[in-house]
Amino acid sequence: MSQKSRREFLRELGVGTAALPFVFNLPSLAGAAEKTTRPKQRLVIMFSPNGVVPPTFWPEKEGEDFELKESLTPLEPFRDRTLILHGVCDKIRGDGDNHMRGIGCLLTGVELFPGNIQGGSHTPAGWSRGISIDQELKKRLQKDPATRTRFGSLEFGVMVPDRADTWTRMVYAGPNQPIAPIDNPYQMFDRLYGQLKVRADLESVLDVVKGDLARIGSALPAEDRQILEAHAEGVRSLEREIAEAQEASSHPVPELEPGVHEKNDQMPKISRMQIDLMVHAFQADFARIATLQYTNSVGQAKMRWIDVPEGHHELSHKPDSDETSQKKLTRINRWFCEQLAYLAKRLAETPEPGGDGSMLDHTTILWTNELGKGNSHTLDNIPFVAVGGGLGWRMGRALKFPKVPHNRLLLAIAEAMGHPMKTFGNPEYCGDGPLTGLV
Amino acid sequence: MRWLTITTAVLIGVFGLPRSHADPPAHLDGQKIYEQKCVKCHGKDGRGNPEMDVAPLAGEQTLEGLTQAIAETMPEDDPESCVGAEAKAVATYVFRRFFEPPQDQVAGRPKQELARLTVRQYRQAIADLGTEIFGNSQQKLATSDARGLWASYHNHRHLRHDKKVLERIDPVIDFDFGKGSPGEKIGKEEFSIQWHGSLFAPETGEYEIIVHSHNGFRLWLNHPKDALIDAWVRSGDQREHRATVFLVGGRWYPLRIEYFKYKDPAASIQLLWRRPHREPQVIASDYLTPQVGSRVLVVDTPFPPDDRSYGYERGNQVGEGWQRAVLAAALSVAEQVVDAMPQFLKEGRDDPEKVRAFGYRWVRRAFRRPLDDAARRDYVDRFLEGTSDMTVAVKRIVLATLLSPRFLYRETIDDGYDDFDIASRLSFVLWDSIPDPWLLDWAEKGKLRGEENIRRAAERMLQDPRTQSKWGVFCYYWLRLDRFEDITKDTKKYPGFDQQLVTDLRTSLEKFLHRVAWEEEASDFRKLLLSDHWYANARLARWYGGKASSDLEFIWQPVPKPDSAGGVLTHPLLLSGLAYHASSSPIHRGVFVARGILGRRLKVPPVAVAPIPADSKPDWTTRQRIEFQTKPTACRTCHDLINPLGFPLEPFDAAGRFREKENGRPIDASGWLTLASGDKVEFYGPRELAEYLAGSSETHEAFVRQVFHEFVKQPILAFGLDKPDELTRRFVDRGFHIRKLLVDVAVVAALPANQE
Repeated sequence: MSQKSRREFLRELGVGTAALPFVFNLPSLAGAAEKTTRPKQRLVIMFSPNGVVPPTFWPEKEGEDFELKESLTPLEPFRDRTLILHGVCDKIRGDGDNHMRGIGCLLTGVELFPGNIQGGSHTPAGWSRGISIDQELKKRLQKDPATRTRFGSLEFGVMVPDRADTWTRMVYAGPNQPIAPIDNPYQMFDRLYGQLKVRADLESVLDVVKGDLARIGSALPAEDRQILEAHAEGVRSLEREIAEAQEASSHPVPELEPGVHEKNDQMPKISRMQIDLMVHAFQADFARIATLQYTNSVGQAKMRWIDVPEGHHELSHKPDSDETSQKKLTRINRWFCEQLAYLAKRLAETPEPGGDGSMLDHTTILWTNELGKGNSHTLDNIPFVAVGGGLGWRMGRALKFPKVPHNRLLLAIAEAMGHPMKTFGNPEYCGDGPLTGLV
Repeated sequence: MRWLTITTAVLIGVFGLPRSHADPPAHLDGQKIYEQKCVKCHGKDGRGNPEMDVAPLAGEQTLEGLTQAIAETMPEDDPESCVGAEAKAVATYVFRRFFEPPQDQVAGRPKQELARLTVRQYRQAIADLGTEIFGNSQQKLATSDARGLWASYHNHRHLRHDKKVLERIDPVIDFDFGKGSPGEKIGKEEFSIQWHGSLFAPETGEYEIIVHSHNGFRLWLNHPKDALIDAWVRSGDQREHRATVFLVGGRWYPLRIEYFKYKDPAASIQLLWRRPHREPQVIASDYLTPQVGSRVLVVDTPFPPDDRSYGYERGNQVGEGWQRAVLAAALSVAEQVVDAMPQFLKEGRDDPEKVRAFGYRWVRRAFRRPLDDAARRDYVDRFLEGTSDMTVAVKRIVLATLLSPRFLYRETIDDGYDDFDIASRLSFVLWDSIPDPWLLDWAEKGKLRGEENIRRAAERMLQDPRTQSKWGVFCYYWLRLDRFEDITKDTKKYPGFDQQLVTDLRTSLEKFLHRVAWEEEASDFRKLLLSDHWYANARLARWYGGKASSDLEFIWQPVPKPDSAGGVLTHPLLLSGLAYHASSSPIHRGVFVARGILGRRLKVPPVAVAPIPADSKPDWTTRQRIEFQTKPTACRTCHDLINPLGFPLEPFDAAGRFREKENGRPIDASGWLTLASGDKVEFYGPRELAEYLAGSSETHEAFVRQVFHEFVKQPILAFGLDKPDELTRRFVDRGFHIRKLLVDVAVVAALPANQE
């Protein structure tokens, strides 16, 4: 079990001795001086739960001449940079119900362990048996000095419930090693920029300390004064270090609106804050991989701001014949799509630091879901919508595949990131290699 | 032999050099001889050379003693080259220059040093400062006899109140329910259990908490919300869950476990820990109480170790390593305090006045005295003016406090020595920590004036887990346990002597040291050297002999060989620690007795010597090998003292087991000691050695001196040249009562009259 406690987490924020160098110095930008042979590539995997409404989601036509249905209309400005993949199926079976496997096997491509967590049907299950594709790629990128970054990957969340179980975890560092997304923007800010706050805090207290050291020192006999003088010298050099670090780091730091609490109705605000933080983190090249997980598998967001007071999961069980509910579900998915579009827009507006084009040209956002359709709980036709140029795929198309296992898509992502693999997850579903026709 | 009395005297002088001396007298002969033959080791100004283990020439010494010692032992590489008149001349010179009592005794005696908090004091002080936010239930828990954890059993996989069928105290958590139910009216398919209470950490360090279970559980330790281990999801065959947590010793930590079974093929749960330097063991009920205590503020930041070159920690280094650690620790505490704001400030956490009140309390406690206006402004008010974000204000108040010299320096740094300095001195001496609120109140009300009042406070402070914990630390260094954290033995010769056994030996000794000092009315120091009882569990009883039925319970019982018993001297942990892999080591044991018990000073060997391997002389005893190897003259000065103090312990082998023969030859356990007077005392075997030592005034004074230094962390002579004698006399008069000695030490250290 390698889940992080909050205390470990706090330690990571830059308050442990090991992290202390970050108080003073940000590591230099990996991208700034690097002699890149490949253009910079980034991958964002965005998750929303409970399936989609197929008729308002999937285009009728294939190829370049596809139409954006109601759920996907926010992508209109990025139509030629969008790729919609229909017919990709999560074929992983075994323990756990479809919601559990839907999220737990989505990025790992392998079964869950047997366990004690009981879903709405099927057998109880535990965690996934394997690493998720984002973490596999992170490991590989971090091994290579040309692609190594401060964090490697960042796991964002929006309104993820505060409990660790199979439904709330999508990302795995390895078998039985789920990684918790950070769904509090302030926490994420601390992780990214905590050392700046620490510097400001220290600056504000050090003059008092110096003053006291001087005052007390003057009243002491000479031999005792030495120790205080050595102490004071240490404090002065700390001050100098802080000043120098201040000058050295010139990353733009996002301003967060204060006091946004993790409450259902704040979800749109939190979503924006997290996306802004992600874009800033990419700008500073803190990571090349990110995940963005909205709620959880079976998520129960109540989207009152788009006039949907019911819980999302509850609503997703309504039959196809219940038109009102299907309309609401379409609105929900369109809201998620708006978040995707906002991220794409922010990236498209930002020039690639030290490179050509915009940051969107170097980033692929892949939006997905644990189910194909909420009321049937099918794992067939899992939604996969890609936006952006990071993976070098040929965009501006809608493709239909003949029920291919999603492991092959995971292989195609790895290949596009420059790390081809023969199999990923359960090899049984990797038979024909990476999904073709994407490039 | 006689020069050893010099080194004993030199030890006294090592704590400080006489500062003011007249010009060296013009005994040119003596001076020349000194420059030719002595300077190499003792230095031009007699300061010695720490690298060669040559102590400064200073302390109490007579001219006669010095002359004789030089004639017999100096220069060390050729003692014959300086004898007779020459010896007398150089002795006179050395005596006049370095040893003659100065006119002004006070000017010449060692001084107290300005010292920062030692690492241990820092961690303890933070833990006590933490009671300002978390409250303090340590005393309450320490005085409660209830052991084990409170448990509730539920006939449902969720801990539903209406499904609770059983409440009880479980002494330990070590359950294997198999496929069955944990009790009547509880199903087999699904059930859940909650345990809560507190866990005691005997020493400071990293603990590993280990849970073995077939099922799902969460474990919280010292935090109400964030689980230390979250294994609610049982996944695959994973049975073992571990987490490391740093705990400050001598304190209770709130502990809670929630556990459930649901359709799993089997049900079990076992709670273990791995204490620092020990093997994993089921947590025994001694360390568990069903009462839930308050949280403890813990700093786990690694610090560079303190200087122990004088035999006790001195906070005399403020280098970069220490400053960075202090900074990291302050940031960590600030983060924890901010994190806890919703709990301790509740609705007031956005109210500047509530935060101000907290700030004043916090700073007063940290600085151990009332705040004047300047301190209020500099450490609290200004941080409230700068921001509307109260988390920022709290963080800065905490940071400024913890980086301030008023917190970080232990000794008085303001003018004069007042009632609050008395309170601080008492609490640092007895607890290694800052004063409790009641003690500050006593200081404020003038209730710490005069010896009787100070004694009253010290007595009240004595019965406290912090004092007991400090006693544990003292014993750790007194018995040199830091030297043998890793004991392994030849598995062929000593089958079964494994790390579990060593862990049990540590527990056995720990319980013994605690019992003698704290549980027995007499609190008799001599018992530490004479006791013929020890603590043994089943594993120890099997290996060494004795009776016990469980590994978790240690039974107080006679040692296997009562007529060879010598308290700690014959405890198998010391005997096996002071031994080689496959053979005993009279030298290690003798050095321990000479230094640790008698307080004699020894130098490092002049040359590095590899011991003669036991198998190269297969029919010799260890004693024969040692006597052969230490025959050269260069060895004799020290080994004439060391060897005969180690030989009486030869009836115990390298694992601390009794033996009558070695390699087919009978053990010769005769030994002796030459006293400062020149008299020779003889003893045969462990018992006679122990009896001699327990009755020796040298032992008593060495113990008092070591206790004083470990507890006060300042040279005893700085409190008066008569203090070693005075304290030793009282110690003897009061029946060698350890707890009374601690009070006496605290009183001597805290009395304003001794604060010159």
